[in-house]
Amino acid sequence: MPRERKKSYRKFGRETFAALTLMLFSLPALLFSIFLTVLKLRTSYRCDGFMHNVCSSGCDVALADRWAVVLGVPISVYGTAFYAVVLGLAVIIGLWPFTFTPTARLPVLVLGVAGLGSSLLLGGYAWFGLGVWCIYCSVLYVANFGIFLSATLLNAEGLLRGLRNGLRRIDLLSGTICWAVLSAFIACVLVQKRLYSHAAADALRERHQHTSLSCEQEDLRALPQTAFELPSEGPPEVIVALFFDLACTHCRREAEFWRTYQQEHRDFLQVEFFHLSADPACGPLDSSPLRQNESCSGALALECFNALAGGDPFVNLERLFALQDQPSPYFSVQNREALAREHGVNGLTECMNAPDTFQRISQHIDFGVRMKLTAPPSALIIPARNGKPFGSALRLRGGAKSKDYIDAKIRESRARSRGHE
Amino acid sequence: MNKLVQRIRALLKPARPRSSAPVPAPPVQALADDVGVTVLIYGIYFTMVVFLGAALYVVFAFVIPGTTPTIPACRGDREGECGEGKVCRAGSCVTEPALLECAVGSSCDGCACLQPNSCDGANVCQSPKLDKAACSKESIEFVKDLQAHQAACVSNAGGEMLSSCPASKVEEFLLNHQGFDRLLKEFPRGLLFLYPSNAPPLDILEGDDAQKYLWPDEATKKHYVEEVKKLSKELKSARHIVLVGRASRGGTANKNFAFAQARVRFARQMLIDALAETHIERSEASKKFIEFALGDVRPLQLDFFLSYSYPAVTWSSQSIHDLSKTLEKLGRNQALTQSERREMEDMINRSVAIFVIPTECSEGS
Repeated sequence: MPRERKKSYRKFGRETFAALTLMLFSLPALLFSIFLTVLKLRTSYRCDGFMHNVCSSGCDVALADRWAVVLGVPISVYGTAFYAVVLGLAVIIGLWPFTFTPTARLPVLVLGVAGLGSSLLLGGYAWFGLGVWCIYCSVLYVANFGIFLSATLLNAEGLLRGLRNGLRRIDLLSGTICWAVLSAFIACVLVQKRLYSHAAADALRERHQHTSLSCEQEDLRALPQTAFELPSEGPPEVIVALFFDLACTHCRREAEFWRTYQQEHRDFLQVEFFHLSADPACGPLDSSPLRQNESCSGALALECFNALAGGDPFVNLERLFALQDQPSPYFSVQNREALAREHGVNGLTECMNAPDTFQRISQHIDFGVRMKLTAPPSALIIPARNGKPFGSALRLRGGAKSKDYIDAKIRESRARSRGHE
Repeated sequence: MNKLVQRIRALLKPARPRSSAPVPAPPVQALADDVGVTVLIYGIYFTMVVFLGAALYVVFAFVIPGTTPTIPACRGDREGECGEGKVCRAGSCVTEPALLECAVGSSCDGCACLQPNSCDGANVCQSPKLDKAACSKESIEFVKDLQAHQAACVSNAGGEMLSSCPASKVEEFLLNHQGFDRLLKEFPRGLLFLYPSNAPPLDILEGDDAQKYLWPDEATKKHYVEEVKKLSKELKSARHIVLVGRASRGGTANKNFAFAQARVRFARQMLIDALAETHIERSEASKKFIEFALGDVRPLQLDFFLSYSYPAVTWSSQSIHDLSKTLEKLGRNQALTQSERREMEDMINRSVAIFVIPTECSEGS
């Protein structure tokens, strides 16, 4: 009978194996979190659609959420610092196991628990709070679980005893290591924060040379600010963005229609009003009758009149629209001054010449043009989720659509906001 | 279940009374040989990561062409792109000795006599002679026709953008006014906006979905505005400002027409920015424009352009130097190469000619 050959395998010490697995998990995770930071920078400040190409099915929502940014930097920045520190510890433990293992056990265990805790918290928030699952983030969740297991492997006493006894055993050396770990983490975050802020500022500077819109506005995940908003009673399921020109008679009727319509559906419908002046003095659109009636001045006057006169913005809107009943040009100096005198408003002209007022109107027009609207009145019917615009909008170019048609479009958008698509 | 509860209790129970000495750390089980193996594994792993990174770089940069396009250092389409003392040549920033601008009446040697000035036979930089607007009967009639054409376009387009007057209508107007360019030249004050290739980028208003090419930047816009301001007195006092947008040949007729429209729109914005000191004045300034987008029909010829006395407003100080250099060559009857001529003709047709029509030449003023 042939003698059975007994294979012998070299066995690693527990600490060496733990150090190797720590490194195996932390290095790819480190690279991946750097990638996520770059992804966030490119989508938030450069709007280059990179996220849409590489990150759909949930992670675009998760990475665009407010939780994705902590103290002004993406959460992945903290992830990068975390993995860098873990990697550093793994290298130290692997190369000098006898010197550093006893003192590095506690910080590794704390990091392992913190990583697992963060994964559970963020994964839970994405699933239960946002209703999505971020595939890319899952890669980091897996890495964090691996790091947690490695940290437990390094601590022969187990999780709770390791933590408890580790705290009791803190002496000068282990205290110094803990302090070094904390400092390294903070330093990594600060260095990245500086790099990120620098890159973001560069991208913003470049971007503001060409547009006044943010990436969120460009992607229809947010709307520009407006004083003329009819909010819904609860979180809106549908948001209508109405684009108007004060000198256009259809716009006056359209504004009235949407005010009445919102009252009928105020439980879920929010309507916001934006300028789309087709006077070249305000932006790229040009319509001769509107230009002749100085509609750009009308838009500036409305913003200022509303700010100076106070009260219900829609009453002020109506007052400005009422200038259409005056002789043309509707928004001439005489007509504007007469209106200001009538309501005891001072400083209208100064306010109209302020750069902020003009910028606000320009932003509305830029936004409208970006949404492929070429003439007032126009409207966007946008599904909303968690009170924010979500998904692509239905465009209504020109006014005077039948109520049945509007009803159908609103129903369609509402179904989309509820995910019935 | 009981076992589990007991284990949890055991875990939570203090291992030793608080008063006792600190718990000794568990012994390190690693072997002395482990370090060598660990170094080896770390080495292999890091090397693998580096190689993987390098392989990905090679694949994306060289194997799959087009995935990482080579970005030129400069495009030569904006002001101050290469910084002081450098100019953009063939996609690279190079140092080129900067020629000072010749003063009017001084010698053209060792300096650049910038357009609209030109070097005369005695090699002296001279400014063009500007006559007063003739306001001939013919030109007054022509202005009347221009206004009528604009009104017709606006009413046909339902009050929308003037420069979107259909190309066929514009051509019809041109057929009826054979002396279109000649007549406009009767108004001696004006500007000629020139644009780099493919600029301004077509956007949503021209039916393009996304603006991939971003132009201009703030410095370039400022350059245009500053150049317009040099003629602000005449522009402010004008009764009408006629804008005629063109495009060079090469693309489709529709695209060229869209480029001409975009150029007119850009020129209009720059004029408003330059002429209106306050936001309220913008509305007043915007009422003066009569706009034409010709596309690539009736291109400007080089010889005709040479007789223009209008200052050219280009996108950068480098481009006006280049233009002046070529014009000087032509003025001295030096032969241009075919590509130089072609480039020059393309450039003068990527333009918007801006004519100032004074009040006295407009009937009913």
